[in-house]
Amino acid sequence: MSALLEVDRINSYYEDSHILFDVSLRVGRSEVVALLGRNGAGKSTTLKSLIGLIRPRSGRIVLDGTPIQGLPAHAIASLGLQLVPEERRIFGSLSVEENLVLAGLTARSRWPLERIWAMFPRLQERRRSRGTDVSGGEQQMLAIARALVRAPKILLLDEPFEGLAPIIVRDLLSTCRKLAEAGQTILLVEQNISAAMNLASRVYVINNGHIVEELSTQSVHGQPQLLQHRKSVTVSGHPAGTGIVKETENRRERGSATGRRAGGGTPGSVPKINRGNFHGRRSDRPGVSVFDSHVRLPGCEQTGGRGGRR
Amino acid sequence: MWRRPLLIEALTALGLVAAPFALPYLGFAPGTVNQILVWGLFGIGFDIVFGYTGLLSFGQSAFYGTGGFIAAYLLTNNLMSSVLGALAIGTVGAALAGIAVGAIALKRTGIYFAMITVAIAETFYFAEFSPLAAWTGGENGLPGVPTPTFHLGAFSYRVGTGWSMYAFLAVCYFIGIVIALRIVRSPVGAVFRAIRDNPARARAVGHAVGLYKLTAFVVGAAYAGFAGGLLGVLQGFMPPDAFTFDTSGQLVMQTAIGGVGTLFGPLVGATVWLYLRDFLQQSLGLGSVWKLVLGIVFVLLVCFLRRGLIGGVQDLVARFAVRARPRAPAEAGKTPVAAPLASIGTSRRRREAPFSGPVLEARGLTRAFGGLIANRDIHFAVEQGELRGIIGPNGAGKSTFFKMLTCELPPTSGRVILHGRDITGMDVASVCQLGLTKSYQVNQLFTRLTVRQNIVIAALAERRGAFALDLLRRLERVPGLDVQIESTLALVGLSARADVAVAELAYGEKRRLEIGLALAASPSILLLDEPLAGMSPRERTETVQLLKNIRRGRTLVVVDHDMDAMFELAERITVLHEGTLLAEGTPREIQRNQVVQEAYLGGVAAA
Amino acid sequence: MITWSNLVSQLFNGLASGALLALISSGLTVIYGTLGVLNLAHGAMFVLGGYAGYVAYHATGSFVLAVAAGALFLAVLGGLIEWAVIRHFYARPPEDQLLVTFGIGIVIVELVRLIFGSLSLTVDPPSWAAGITSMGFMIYPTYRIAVLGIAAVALALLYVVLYRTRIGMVVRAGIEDSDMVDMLGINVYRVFMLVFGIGAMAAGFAGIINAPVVSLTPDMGESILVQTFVVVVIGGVGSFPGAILGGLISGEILSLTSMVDPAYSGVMLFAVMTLVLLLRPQGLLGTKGRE
Repeated sequence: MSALLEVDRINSYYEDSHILFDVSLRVGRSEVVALLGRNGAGKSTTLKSLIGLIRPRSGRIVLDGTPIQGLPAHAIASLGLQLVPEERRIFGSLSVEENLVLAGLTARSRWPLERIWAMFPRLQERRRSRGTDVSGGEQQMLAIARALVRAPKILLLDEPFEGLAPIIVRDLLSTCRKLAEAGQTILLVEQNISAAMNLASRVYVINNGHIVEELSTQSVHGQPQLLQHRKSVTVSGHPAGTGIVKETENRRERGSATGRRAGGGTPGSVPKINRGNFHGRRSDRPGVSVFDSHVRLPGCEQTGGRGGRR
Repeated sequence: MWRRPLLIEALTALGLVAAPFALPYLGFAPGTVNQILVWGLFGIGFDIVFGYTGLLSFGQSAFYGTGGFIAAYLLTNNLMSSVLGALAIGTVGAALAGIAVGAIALKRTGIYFAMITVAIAETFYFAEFSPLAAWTGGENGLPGVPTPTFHLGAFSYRVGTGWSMYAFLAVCYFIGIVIALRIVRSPVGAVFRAIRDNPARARAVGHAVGLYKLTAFVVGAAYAGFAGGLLGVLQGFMPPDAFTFDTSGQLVMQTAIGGVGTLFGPLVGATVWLYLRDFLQQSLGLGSVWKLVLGIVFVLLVCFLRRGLIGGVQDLVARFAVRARPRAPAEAGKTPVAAPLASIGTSRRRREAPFSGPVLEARGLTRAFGGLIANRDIHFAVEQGELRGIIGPNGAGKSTFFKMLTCELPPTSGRVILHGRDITGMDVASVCQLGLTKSYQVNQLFTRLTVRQNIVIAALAERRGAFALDLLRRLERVPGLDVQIESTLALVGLSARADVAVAELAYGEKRRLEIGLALAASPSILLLDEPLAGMSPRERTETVQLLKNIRRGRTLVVVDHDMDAMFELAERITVLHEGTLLAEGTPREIQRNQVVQEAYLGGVAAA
Repeated sequence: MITWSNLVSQLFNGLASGALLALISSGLTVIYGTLGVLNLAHGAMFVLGGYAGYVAYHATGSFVLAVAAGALFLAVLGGLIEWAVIRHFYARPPEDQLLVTFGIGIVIVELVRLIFGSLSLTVDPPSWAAGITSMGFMIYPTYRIAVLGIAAVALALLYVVLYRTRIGMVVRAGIEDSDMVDMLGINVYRVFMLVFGIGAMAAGFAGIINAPVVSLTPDMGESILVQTFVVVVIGGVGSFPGAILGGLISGEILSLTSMVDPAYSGVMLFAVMTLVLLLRPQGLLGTKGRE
């Protein structure tokens, strides 16, 4: 049976920097698949290539039988792929409710608002607040809810747990599990190994723009150090509340398919919220990591609680 | 770029001499040719402002009119009998107006800047019309502007109209072009081009970009003022419509039609413009439709022939030249040879008394963005000659911290100290001049220039300081420049590719150029932001070797994710986590550090 | 001689021209906010709206139809221009965008001049707004009051569209982050086309309702363009409320200073713009850091 999403050897570039090398993966119907990799391995670039913000120079992407590589983002979204970006990109000039209504405007089938409120009661309480006036965790929920409004065939989640307090992460995890149990197909990109394995049935490991491993979580479950022994995958820490600094790099970055210039800003400027300024996340840059390393940070048993802090 | 000296000047002189003999056969009346020269001269200044420095001003008419009316006023009120003298004063007046207007308008860039120039030009027009009508003649302008008289011993020659005037104007134009060519070939001209390409990087390598922009603007104003004065002399009367937005617009269109950034574009554009006007209006009797035709031509050129007519010809010529000569192959990544001497040239800074303390220090550095605290109370110090690595998991605040060290971002609290000197809150250019530079994670190159031209920009700031007005000096004559450039190129292994355009470089070469730009500023401490980003394993090895080469005689601070490389390179490593300094020590100590491991591996408890 | 009725009359004039300026400027600022393009052809669109209305007026005899025709014509033309030209310039440097819109403006104005000549044309105010109104202590041309009313209604309509309709929501989201709008399945190019059309329509609408006040000439757009820039700089680029505030302030400045000496009103406006630039560069209601 053919998979819902087939990605066949795509090569993506950022200007002339080759980021994804022959990346292939499959996501089956109702599956939850995780793409793991360290900072800069190419995870976000993969998702952006799927959703149409980056145009792969070669390769094929087939969604439910329809080839989608090279299509503009809105066409791909209409065909059933929905991305929850790692910067969330909530519209601050719109209310929480308006964010959701906007998402549903051109959706072929749409989740009614009641269903959204049922799944995210906190959002219902804050429905009239401006999109960016709610907490980080609520914004993440809103970003996911916004994607769900469009009843996507596949939900793409880009590091949804990053920068959130543990209790929020727990909440979010349970929401995602509920979605998965209800049959939602999810492709999850993460640095947080345990969260990913909690949800996913299959895991791809990406390193330096190459898919280096495909594992079923059964085989790895209980042996997280296996992954770490094989590849040096650094996992994001667990910051409580410090969140992420969403800084903009300079204005020359262009990652969007519309070819728009990112808004102005010299290096070192204060983060702004305006058009397409979110390409500057460092995690997009391909990092270099040890491919076949002896372990740098010796594999240790998964510590139970949060890492201690001096 | 023409390498042969004075070729352009010679050709121009030839052309100007030949014109009166050739142009009448093409249907040009002497009056039209004279107007073309005045527009051409007006446009030289504008092209320096827009074509070379990248500032699109729609307000040049303000200076055109100012210069013209000052000169005309002096002459028609018998305050001055020498036409040349009046023209000179008019030019100076226009330049002063340029300083005043530039000080306001240059506070903004791009679209805002264009809007401000429009508004200012209109104001000058209003001022001419009414409040100052007593001096300017209001809507009538100033009639009776005399032509110049030249006294040679016992003889005196009075310039008349027609070809006699042409001779005078041609000389003026020639002088204007010669000066302009000197300016664009000078160090200042090189900085102009850098500003057009990447103003932020020009600042980061140590140039006082604001002052250079103002210089370009004043040069443009001076040329405009001079041309304005000549307009009055040419027409025998100074018209108020020298001040109109129309005039500015016509100048912009002519320059775009002829070719932006060529210095001769405005002349070619004016030729096309005035020729079509005469042809359509008089020969074909089509009345005012000529401007419509020109408008359409202009739009089409902007859409399809972006570098104007001259640019189009240059492209055609280049295409033939490429076919004739095969291109030099991209240099397969050669491991850069370890340079015997790490110092590049002799830095001006080395005269300073040696300082015996940490080279760079951060005390209590904190940065908050609204409620988000990205960096909290970081204490950090790097000793002379050290190679320090900074690592940390995602979200640790490394890039914010780095930006505070280079003064790209001011801290919310805390101090940054360089060589014992408090540099907190300084601007990037000054910090670079004091000896701290950075190479960027995302390449910040001058993309329209060659490799050598890129290095030149950085080296110029090092040799000449943040700002120097050597407008007429030849680039080659900057002392020590050559040595600086050649040694930098050798250090980053790009000597063989020096004259290749940035667009044609391989990614690895671009990264090396990126580091080269920072090196050419002769820093005593160099910060490198993810130098290994986006590299293949082989490129990575080469870059690690490069870093080892360049560290001699310098202090290096490197941020990167590549653990292997960091542990291999760095003597000490600083670990950031959640915005604070988590640990510091030798690579071995960090590897064994339990807290660091937990920070990298900590995850969610299985829920 | 400054008398009380003079003052009120000028205040009123200021309101009327201010409202008109606000309308034109909001078109410009919304285009810039959403597309990132400064439309140097905006003044030309004002002119074109006036002439289109003139044609419609003489064809139908109805002022209302003339206004509708002028506005609609510009809306369609604006969309067409975006689709045919502007769209291809999004990836090009902002200077190129300025040049091409400037060129389009020239072409439009010259076309108008070709068809209608350079002499001014008059449009009569509609009969229900002709003549003068007595307001007790002063007499004021009725049509000018009508202009104020119409412009205010148009601005209110624009506000309602932007803040209370779904399409307005899309536009506001597009101003903030057009890529995200794209990812939500909304064709941003269609949004851009619509916004350009709306912006052009605002200018054209203003052009026709202003026609009975001043006669139509092909060159009347030039000064309007400059004033619009000043308004946008004062109010803040990309801000709809800023355009309204800036427009009203500018209108009053022009009006009141012309009471003292008409020669100085233009200069005064510029002086205020300079002040705003020096003290609050992002404009009164603009967002900081937005270039």
